[in-house]
Amino acid sequence: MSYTPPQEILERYADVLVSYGLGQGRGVQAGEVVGLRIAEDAKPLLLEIAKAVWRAGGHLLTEFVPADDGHWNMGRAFYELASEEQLAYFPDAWVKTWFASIDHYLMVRATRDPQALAGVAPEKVMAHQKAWGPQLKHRFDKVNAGALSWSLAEYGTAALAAEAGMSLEEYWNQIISACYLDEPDPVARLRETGARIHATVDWLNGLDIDRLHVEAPDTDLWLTLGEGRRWIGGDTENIPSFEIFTSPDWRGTEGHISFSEPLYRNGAIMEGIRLRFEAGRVVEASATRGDAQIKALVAADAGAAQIGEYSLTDGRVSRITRFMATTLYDENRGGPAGNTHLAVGSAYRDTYTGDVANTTDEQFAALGFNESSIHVDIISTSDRTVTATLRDGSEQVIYAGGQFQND
Amino acid sequence: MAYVPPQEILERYARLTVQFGLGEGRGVQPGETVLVYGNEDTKPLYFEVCKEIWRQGGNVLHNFRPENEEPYNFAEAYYALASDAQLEHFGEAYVRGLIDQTDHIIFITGERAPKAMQAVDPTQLAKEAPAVQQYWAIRQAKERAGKLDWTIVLWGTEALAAEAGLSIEDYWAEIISACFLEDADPVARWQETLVEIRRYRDWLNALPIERLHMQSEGTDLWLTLGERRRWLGGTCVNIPSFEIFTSPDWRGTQGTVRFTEPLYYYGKLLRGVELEFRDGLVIRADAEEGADQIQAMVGQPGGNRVGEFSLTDARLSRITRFMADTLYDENVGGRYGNSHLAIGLSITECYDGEEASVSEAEWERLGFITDAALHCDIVTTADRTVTAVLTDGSERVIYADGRFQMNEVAA
Repeated sequence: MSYTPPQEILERYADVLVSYGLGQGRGVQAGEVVGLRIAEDAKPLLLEIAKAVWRAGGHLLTEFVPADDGHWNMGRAFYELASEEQLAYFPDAWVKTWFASIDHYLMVRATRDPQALAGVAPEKVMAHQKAWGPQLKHRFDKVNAGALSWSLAEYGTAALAAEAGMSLEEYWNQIISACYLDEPDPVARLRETGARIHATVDWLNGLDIDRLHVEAPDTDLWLTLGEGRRWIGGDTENIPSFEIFTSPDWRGTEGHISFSEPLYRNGAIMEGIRLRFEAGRVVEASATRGDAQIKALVAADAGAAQIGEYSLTDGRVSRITRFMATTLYDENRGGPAGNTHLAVGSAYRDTYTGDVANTTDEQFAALGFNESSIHVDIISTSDRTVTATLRDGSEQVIYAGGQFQND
Repeated sequence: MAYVPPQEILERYARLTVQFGLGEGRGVQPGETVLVYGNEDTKPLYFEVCKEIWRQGGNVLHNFRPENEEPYNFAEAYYALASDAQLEHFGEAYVRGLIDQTDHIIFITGERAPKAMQAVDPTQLAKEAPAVQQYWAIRQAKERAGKLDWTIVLWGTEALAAEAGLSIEDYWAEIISACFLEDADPVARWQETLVEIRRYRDWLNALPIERLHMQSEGTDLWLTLGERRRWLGGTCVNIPSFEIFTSPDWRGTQGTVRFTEPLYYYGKLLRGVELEFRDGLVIRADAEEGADQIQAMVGQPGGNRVGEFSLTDARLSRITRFMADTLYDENVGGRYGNSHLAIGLSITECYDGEEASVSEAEWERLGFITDAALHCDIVTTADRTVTAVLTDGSERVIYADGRFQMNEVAA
């Protein structure tokens, strides 16, 4: 490894994740179990996370994920060798008890080779992912019952830095700045930023929005918010998180959208993605690079051609200023026009204003909350105007020039 | 990058592990699930093992683990920080789910820094005993029901080679030779070897042995075989495995045993271990090096009793050198073969009946140890004589000069 962040930075990063990222800002408490899924190359951070959990009196269940690269590519070998039965295998007993056993779920990604799976038949990847759909369900059933907190973070690697056109140190400087790790008390600063985002969320939730109209170059998209929806932002599930998002009623999506940013997914790159919706479903999906992948993605299951999330990030709030070649950062990117993204696939049920834990799958389906084995964010940073049609019929521009219009 | 054996060797090693080590020699069947354990440095073999499982139609559950090494010493950090509540914690639901899901387990052992835990306070380790006991109970219940099996293979690291006083190339040469990996079909060679080992095992099982008397310099030890015991050998649970072993009735152990070989336990080196037994219990434990460690071990639940007695014939074993690793050292051949005792858990497979139908009370009555927190093998390669006292009171030397004393019977 050519560059490892200084010890002080690693300690602050671990502290941010364990005492702020988990437990919705309250951190890990004594006796609680943290399930940690962390990539091999993030080992320096793993030790600091483990120490932070142990110091808090918590227990750690670690899944240390071997890195796929040109030499030892476990992912590619699996897809090359696996039969249909093996692709469809899902270790239900194990996954179920993993989620039953943990109070917090922390995921730390570190990509050694963003194209590790390039060339693998996308149908195989989709079939495997579909088989693993129950994992998302086990996880979010517990999250929605208020019994599991989770958070996601990125560990900078040389490959991602190269993909983003930066040195590894420059790349880490983006991470450090975005998470306030260059300050002695990053948790305090993250809380301040959270409060600022919450103020915008409250304004949006007070507007009583019926539909949204997104206009940008090669984009003319209508979204329907749906019954009992709220906007969410300033939370701790992603470190860092600057976006404000909701899960619209998927059935009300019409028009087309093009995405300026590349999408990294399952070890392949897609660029120049364009989606066209009719009556809530993708009827046309294309990409200038990875066309087969995007088509396979929206065909993964019934819900993969329907939206699960719509999100906007204010350019003034986000401290991420550069393309980072990873969804976690790119979907929270600031810069001159901020960003917008939508996700195809499963909706976030916590955007429902009702009693999430006591609402059935059928009721969620009736409310237009999408259900799928995937959730894939696709991002655009081109300058856009978002106009809301309120329930009283009036129109209001809520976002323009990369900024929410709440001042 | 550290030394990695040639690709061909790795592939044979993986084939041997998956096709021979699991399912009592039958290998992995389509649809079965294999839990694979290995540290970072084992990755070249770990990768080939996963590929071989997939080729056989099996599924993999990963348990890949970070190496403990400075400056990333997880174990040392954990034991330094952990409270009693943390050490006593046992995630029962999780372990049950994991074991439920699993048909076979592969342990690829071998660490970058085998001594990384040497500074850990043994009293901290001892506090984990109740959790370890619960883990063993869950795993063994499924093993006894015949629904779970496992195998262990070794990955040679620079540090292990250095401990053994060998170059990494020589260390691997020993692994390659012991596992027949220089042969295009190591599985076939192993099947042949099993037949050979089983001849001796069957001979031992046909002898109505009541007690055993092991004598060598510093050793004068009596063991009682016990009711319904059998000898095992030529099994696939360790690769390689040349030993023939049984689990005696722990209550009948008397006398003194001195072990010539160093022992590594949780990163600590013990040399010159000596144990004295009276009425089945250790009454004195000492060592030239690591005396406090051996005393801490015998102080753990079940640690003061014998769970296994084993003999390796020098003619059968292809291991010729000290390897600084129990898997190899407990199977070492050389001039006098080896004997070892394990303190802790018995091997209930040495019961000559249906394990699944035996109750806990019955295990206890038979003198099997099922509730220990450890199973630790300690090895001697001294020139030994083992004399059996048969049920009719007669005596017979069964092992001397490193060899079983079987009289060849003409067919």
